[in-house]
Amino acid sequence: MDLGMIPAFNDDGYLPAGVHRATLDEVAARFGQQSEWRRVRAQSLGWLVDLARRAGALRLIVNGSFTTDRPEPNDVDCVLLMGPEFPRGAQAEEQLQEGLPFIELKIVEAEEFAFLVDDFFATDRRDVVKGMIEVVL
Amino acid sequence: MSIQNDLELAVTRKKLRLLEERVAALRRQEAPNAHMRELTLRSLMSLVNQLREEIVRYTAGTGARSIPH
Repeated sequence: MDLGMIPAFNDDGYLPAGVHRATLDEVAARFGQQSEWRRVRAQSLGWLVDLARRAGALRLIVNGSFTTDRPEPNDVDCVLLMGPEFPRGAQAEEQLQEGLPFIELKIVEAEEFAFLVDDFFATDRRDVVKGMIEVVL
Repeated sequence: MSIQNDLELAVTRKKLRLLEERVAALRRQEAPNAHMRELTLRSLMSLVNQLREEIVRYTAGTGARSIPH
């Protein structure tokens, strides 16, 4: 699946405002190639995507410094919206809760997912608007 | 990440207040899926604690008398 190019960073080093959908391959190509530091984070994101699919997740948002132009980002901040069948796979859910290296994961209900994506994570600590990535599951 | 100046402190406090309001509201509401609610609260509280820590670190470092609320 090719969802089109992830947009360029703006002058603040952020993606343009909004949620930009992309495949895992597109995300890895854009954000996970520039350094070993980024490569290991992209690899861990791949594991998360696999677990999220098996656990019955509906949407996965990636934000934070990993999706900026920073050469050495912090952990990959992720928000996961689970489906109504959750927990579908007990093993996958257990692994999600155990955590993954370099992944800062929030698992939330629909209303809180909307709050985090549309409000809380949509601006930085200077109140500057920033975009984020939705990895297609 | 850490707070660098008073503007960032103010924004962080605003975000913290919003989060705390969401947490309080969720705790009052009935949960259609108790397990999912527990995970949601855990996720929001980890953010709350992260912001509280950042505020305390900054205010301690600048000698400000403010405390997170």
